[in-house]
Amino acid sequence: MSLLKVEDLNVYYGMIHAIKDISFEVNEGEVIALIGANGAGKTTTLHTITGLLQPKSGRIEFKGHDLVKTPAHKIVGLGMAHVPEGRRIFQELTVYENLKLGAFTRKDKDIAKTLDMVYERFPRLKERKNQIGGTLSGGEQQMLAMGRALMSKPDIIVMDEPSMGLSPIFVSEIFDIIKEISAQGTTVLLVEQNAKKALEIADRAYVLETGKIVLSGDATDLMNDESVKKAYLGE
Amino acid sequence: MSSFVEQFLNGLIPGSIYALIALGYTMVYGIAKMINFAHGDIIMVGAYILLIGLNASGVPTWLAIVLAIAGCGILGVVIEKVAYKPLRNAPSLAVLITAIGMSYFLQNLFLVIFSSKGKSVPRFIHVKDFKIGDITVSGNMIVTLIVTIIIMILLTVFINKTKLGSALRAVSEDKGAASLMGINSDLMISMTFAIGSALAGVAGILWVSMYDKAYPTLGAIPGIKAFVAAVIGGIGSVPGAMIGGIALGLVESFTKAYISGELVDAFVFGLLIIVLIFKPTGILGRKRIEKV
Repeated sequence: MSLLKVEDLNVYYGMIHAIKDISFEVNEGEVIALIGANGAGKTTTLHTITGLLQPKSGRIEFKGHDLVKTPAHKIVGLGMAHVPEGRRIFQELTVYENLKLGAFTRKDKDIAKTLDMVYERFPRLKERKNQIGGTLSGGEQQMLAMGRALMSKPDIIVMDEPSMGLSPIFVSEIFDIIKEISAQGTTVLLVEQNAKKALEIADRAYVLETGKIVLSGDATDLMNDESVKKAYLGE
Repeated sequence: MSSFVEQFLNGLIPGSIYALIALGYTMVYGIAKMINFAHGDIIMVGAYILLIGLNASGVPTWLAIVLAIAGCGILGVVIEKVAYKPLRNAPSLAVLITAIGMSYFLQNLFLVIFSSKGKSVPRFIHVKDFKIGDITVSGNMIVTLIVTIIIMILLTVFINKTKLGSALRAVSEDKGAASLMGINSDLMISMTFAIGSALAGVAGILWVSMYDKAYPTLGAIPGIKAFVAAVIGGIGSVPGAMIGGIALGLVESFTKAYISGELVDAFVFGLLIIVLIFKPTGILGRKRIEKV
């Protein structure tokens, strides 16, 4: 069943037509990768979905809600969490406070349970729960950003370049975690420049080039596609 | 020695009022990244609302006080909505000029309504003077001190220990990321203006309890002094505003007592210059790395 459906999306930065007629969908339980070079429009697409940017035209439908008309701060409450590019954790707040803010819109009594779950998945965050966010290493900040997103108990988690700027060990760890998150039933929409890693864990993928989707299909098929190999996998 | 203690108290009291006002400047700066130059005039509005309440028959003193504080809080929210919110993405110079304009507007509005003549405010705090040895502490002073201490404690707890407080800090750091958490930053900004302006209302009430006159430019001097205090303490820092306000009051009082009454302002602004030379971000201010 389609959880998120993007139709004929057009986004402009002033005069620049950054996203041109993009359409794609994400089904429940899938891991979908959006891959493409720097400037292809991956982050712009995600920001438009989570309400940080307004599209010129097009539709974004999530669980029957029209996201184009939903203000950014209402989207997380609908079940969509966003792990933004550059992590954007709150540097001056403690790890614990960052995580609690992830559950800001939740009114249920199980927040403590989710917090335990997050600490279990990221033991490092538990060790550092009273530390100020800005003092964490890049990899730890990425974990915090993911943990913060999980605190909202999302149906779908949207991740923007989670491996950017991390050491190779952390990169593998982050992708393992994404696999785990998906295995536990959360749908994942992943934007990555590291196409190889992204295609390895994705079910399906869309290839973006200068604001357009030029290729899409099963991740395994794309991995064997000659043009993808040449342009994105360095083979 | 007793004269030193007296001078200390003489500085502590206006200092704590400066601190209350400085809190408004610093909180608004922290979240909206602007200096609300109309903030001082809210003190004046608070004083007038109190005066009207006290002079109206059948309005008990406590109600006049509550109305003045609430009125200031509401005024702050309205000013933000009408004057500053439309300029959220405008260059900061436009916002600054608008804030100065708002300040003149409030002063002149009250000038038209109440004329430039000061109106005396009846005594409304009836607390007995307090004597320790040969030092007399007036009832007003005691009330001012207790009120300020309570407000500072409550505000510190609110900002550091509550869910809304951490949301407030999150918005002040990164509005976009805060909205991804589901935090409505417009609401947080309104709340900050409400709290800051209500504190200015409290400051206005305490001010006229001390100097018992209300006039349209009443807020100008404490407003600018408190702004200096906020900058000295580190604009954006809540404890900084408290420290800056009290430090300023003490410098004023000691200068007046031991150096010269005429040089008070020279020392106040001299302190500002010295702090800015050695620590441009203020005593507790931290440099924020601006991401491009």
